[in-house]
Amino acid sequence: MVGTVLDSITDVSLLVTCVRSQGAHLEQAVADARAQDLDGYEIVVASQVPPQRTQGLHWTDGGGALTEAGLLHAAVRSARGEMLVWFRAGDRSAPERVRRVLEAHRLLGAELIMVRVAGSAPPPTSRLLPLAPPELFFELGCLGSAGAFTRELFAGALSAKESSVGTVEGIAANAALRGGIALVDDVLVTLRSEPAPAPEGSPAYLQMKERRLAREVQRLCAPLQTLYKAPDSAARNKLISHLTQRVIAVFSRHALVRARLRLSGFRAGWSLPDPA
Amino acid sequence: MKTSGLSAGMSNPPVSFILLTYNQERYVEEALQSTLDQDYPNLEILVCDDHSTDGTWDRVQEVAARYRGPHRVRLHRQPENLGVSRNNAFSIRAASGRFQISGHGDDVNLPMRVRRLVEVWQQTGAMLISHNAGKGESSESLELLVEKGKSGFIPIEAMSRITWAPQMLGATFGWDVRMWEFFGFFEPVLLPSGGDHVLPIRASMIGGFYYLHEPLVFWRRHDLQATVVETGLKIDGSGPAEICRQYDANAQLQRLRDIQVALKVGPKNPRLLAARTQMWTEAVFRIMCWSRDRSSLEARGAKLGWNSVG
Repeated sequence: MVGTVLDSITDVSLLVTCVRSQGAHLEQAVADARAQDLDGYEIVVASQVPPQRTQGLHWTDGGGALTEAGLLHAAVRSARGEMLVWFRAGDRSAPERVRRVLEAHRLLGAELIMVRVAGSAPPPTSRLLPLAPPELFFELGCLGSAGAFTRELFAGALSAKESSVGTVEGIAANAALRGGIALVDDVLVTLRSEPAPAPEGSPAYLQMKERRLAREVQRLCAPLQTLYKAPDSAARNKLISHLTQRVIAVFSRHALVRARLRLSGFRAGWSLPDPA
Repeated sequence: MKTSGLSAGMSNPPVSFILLTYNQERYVEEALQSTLDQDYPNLEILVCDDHSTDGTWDRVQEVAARYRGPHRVRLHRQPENLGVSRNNAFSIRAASGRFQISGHGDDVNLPMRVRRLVEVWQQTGAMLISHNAGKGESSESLELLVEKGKSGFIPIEAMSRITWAPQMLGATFGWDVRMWEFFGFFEPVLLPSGGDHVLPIRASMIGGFYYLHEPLVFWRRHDLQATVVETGLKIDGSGPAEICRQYDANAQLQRLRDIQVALKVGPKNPRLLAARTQMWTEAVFRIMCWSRDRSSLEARGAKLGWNSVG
């Protein structure tokens, strides 16, 4: 199969992002990108720490981007490909990942193609799925680093601020609007493991949960801003309705966690970085 | 003109003034004295201190001990710090009057404040009444809270699209206890620092929210105010607004819950149904504002920390 369907592919960019805290995983992510079982793709690394070897890849420091989303934007700016596949430092990708994604793109025409991540439940039917109705698969599309997307799809989701979370949700919302999310139902990505949770109910646990839920609300809010500006359509309205309910539900949970912290005797306070 | 069923036939019904205090050592004497100086004849004054850690409680006791006037004065100190919402809920239950007036330990009341609120309550039957105020850091730098306005009922439609307006200042509230009996107390986990945003909507659903365009209190603005301490947002608007925005969004959720209660108990009033739709939109908008603020802070490298206040 290798070298048949994909002979003519010259417009694929593999985007490796790495924030400072993931620095130890950068080389592994680059190695996974280099090990893909097809030719003719470029590798763009947007990383706050430089890779050991820059031969055969393009490196950018992200122009001072502080967040993963900012690095992803920087990588896309540097990339030349029309199909973009995201490799996040800390995640592991199988050698056939890019090839399988491109096959799916060609067969289904989907603009956002997800692969199944290790540990997730398999879908009930075929191994290559166009997902419908799209609004119900929006959250699957938010597993950003398990996805590949077209440049056009990314550009259409750019209303989310580069420095904020919500880039992948913007992409997923845009894909849902355009009716094109597909899933390659083979485990081709292992997401990086999260730190071990603190004992349930402890302040450290509540603080971690507060951060996670806040992040979830932020991620859900970002595509809403895009959607409100999108032309009126049934798909848009369904997606807005779905997201609105999710935002209120998740924010309510977040508010309760935050209030539990307050009742446990902890007051929230922001510390701003020293301007110097 | 409506009249309050509770006060019908009574010229001076019993009224409670609830004075909430917490770490207001500098201002509490003046606040309590201005309450004791009220010219309404049938008044109970309940001072509820939320376990102040400065000399507030001592000042309260001193002023109360000196008082020889006609009002019934009751003092209570919470055994631990409860936060504004829970301290307020405790006081409402503890006070005996069916009409209650809210006061804070850093504000100064004009002598006719209680009398004017009771008169309006008797004339209009409103469930919640607010009034104008002078605001500033001292009486020398005073300006009016509402520059141009007029007295009257504020309909739910005018409030469901906004979070707060100067006419909704909690430091100026007087309420009919039935409003609390109908809706219950706030979830202190949702609104730990009070309910200015919520009470006017509640009142407008069951009996009316009335604004009286007369300045009857000096609302003192300072950086030790409970909301400033709770949210970290200074009175000049400087500082991170994320915590403030969180409470704004929480208030919208509380409003949605309240309107569900009103719709469940009463008829499916089309005005309430329309207001619910507005509030739903407003809630999502407020959450998005909060989300944007938090993202912006995080992008600037700010960190949310949790400081023990025990």
